[in-house]
Amino acid sequence: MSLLSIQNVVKRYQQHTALSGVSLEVPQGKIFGLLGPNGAGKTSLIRIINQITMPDEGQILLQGKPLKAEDVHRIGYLPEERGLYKKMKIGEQALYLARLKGLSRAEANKRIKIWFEKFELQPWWNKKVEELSKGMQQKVQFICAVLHEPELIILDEPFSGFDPINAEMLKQEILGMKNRGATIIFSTHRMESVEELCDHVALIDKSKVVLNGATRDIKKQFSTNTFRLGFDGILPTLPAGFDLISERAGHDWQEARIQLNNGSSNELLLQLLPHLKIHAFEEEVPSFNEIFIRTVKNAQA
Amino acid sequence: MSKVGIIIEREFMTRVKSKQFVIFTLLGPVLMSLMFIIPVLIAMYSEDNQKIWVADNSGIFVEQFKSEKGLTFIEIEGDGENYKDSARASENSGVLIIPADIDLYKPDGFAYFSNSPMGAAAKRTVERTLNQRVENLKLESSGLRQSYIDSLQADISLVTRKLTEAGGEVNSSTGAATGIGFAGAFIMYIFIFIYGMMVLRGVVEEKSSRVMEVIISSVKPFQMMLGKIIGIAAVGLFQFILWIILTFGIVTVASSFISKDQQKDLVKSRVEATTAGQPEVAVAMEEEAMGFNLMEELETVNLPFMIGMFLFYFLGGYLLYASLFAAIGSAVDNEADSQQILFPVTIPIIIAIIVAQMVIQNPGSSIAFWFSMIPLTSPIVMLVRLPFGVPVWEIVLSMSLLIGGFFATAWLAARIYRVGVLMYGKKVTLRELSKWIFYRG
Repeated sequence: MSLLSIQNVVKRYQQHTALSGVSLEVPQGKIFGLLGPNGAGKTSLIRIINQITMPDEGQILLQGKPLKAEDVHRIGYLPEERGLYKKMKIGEQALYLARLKGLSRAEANKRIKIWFEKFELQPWWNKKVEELSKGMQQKVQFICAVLHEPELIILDEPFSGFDPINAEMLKQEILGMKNRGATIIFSTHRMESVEELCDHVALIDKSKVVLNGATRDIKKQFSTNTFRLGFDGILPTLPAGFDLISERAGHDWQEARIQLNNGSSNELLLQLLPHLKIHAFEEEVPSFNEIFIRTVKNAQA
Repeated sequence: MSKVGIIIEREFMTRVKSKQFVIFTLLGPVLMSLMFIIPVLIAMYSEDNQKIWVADNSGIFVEQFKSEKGLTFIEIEGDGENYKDSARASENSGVLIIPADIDLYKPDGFAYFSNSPMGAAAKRTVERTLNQRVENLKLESSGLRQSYIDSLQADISLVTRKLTEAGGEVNSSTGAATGIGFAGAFIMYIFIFIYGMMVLRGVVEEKSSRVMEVIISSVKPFQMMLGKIIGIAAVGLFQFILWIILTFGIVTVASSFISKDQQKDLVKSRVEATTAGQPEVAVAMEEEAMGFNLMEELETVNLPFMIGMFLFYFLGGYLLYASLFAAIGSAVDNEADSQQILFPVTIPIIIAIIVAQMVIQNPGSSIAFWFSMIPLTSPIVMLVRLPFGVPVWEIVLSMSLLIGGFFATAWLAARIYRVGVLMYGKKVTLRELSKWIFYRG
């Protein structure tokens, strides 16, 4: 069941096309990674979902119905370009933004207190934004994006500006919101956080979707069936179906990379067991970093 | 509460609570009151009595010099040379030396000696006295009797009365009308700029601090623009009302220290100073100079109507220009960039102020009519015309055009605004802006 259905969206600007026929399904209750190089069209798509701009063609359905103006209350948005009123006190600011998202003053106040406690911002309630550190400003901004408990949360580079401790806290919050049923669209260039968080990934390059699917499926798709072996002894000749890609003396033991063309990893192990002392044996799972680079480079070629 | 309402509330509260607002609001009336009070104080305390020793060697003028408040004539013996030393030593005295032989048909050789320049009023008095005497002597020598000469002098003062549509007539006071009209227009000009620029700065702040994107994911750009413009309009009206109250308060308190009699005295002495020896003129002048007693003359102008009109044209003119300023603010990345494209927008305001000066000369001219109809200039030009009296249909037409003009510029501005607020790092020209108007989505 998809919460958000993006159908054939086209967005043109004067000189270039930002999105050409983009279709994506964002599954309910999952973290959806929206990846792509700079200028690929991610921000255009996010702005269209937020109804900041309108698509030239195509449509977007939220739970099966075309987006309406009131739907902005069901969406929370943390833009990449952060900004708050510099001269406004953070408490008032959060209150203002929450009320613009349709919360009553009393309800907004209550929730801000809870979030400020959680993020240790309570003592700064009456401080102006310009008096806070960058990290603290980021926290306020994040709170403002999720305060109205939206069903769909769009986070554009949420971790930038956070130290590792706060980044971890933020990650737990994001996972917590997912567990409570929220759907999260997560746009980032940090592939390690994609690995950690995303259930589903779409890669946009040059205004088109070039990769789209569940994280596990994509990894499988990009798997080269290569295994890394750490051993002591002399490597025997490999039977047909197994290709030795490389072999070298490692730090503690010998290392070899072997590709499986047919046959399973268990078979390979059985073949090797009598000859070698095995220290390590693992599949080389492609990282999203590699997948990203390979896909984008392929598209360019 | 609607979203626009929430925005208005924020725009109003953050500004009203700011230090600048408090300082400016308090300082404004003080400065304005000083404009009323200082001239009064100067008149009251400048008691520097000027003394003029008159050495009349001819003997035909000396009787004509009459001392008045602030100016004393003293007849002296001798040719006057002996008083030059005294004049040199004295701060406020001088010697007027009149030569012995005066040719009535070519009088000259009159001289005044002092260590400081002669005041303009004193110089006028002396010259008038001398001239009058010479003229009278000439008339007498032609055989006319003094009583006949006196009866020759005419003094006509024009009473300006305005015919009202109802068929009656009212006193129209050209002086007060000019003053009020132009003051109103000038205040309007300043207000439109101050609050219009406030809108521009607000939009630029939202854009440069990047809070814009967060907000327009919650509200439509048009709502945001409207909320800001209305919120700042409320700030302006609030400030204006505070200023009126405070100014009247200060002036009232201050004038209670200056007693009524003192005020009258003050007026009278001024009148006498300028009209010495001409009682009928003095009466007329006194009536007019009562304008000093501000309220009386203002009554002929219908103050509540003027304030109402001022508020309407202020709101209309402000709304019109504020939406243009908002559009400009949305198109630039920082305030410095705005100067260049601000220029074309400020031209109509400047033209209006120039036209306003022409309108004072001739409030019924066709230039006055047209510029008080065009919405871009009417807030200023119409204000100048109003105290002189403007037909009702013209006022209604001008007001309707202004309202229409606001909707037109607001529509235009909103089209530019929605594109501009998301556009960064682009050098914006007027041509570019006009393209934005036709973007879709």
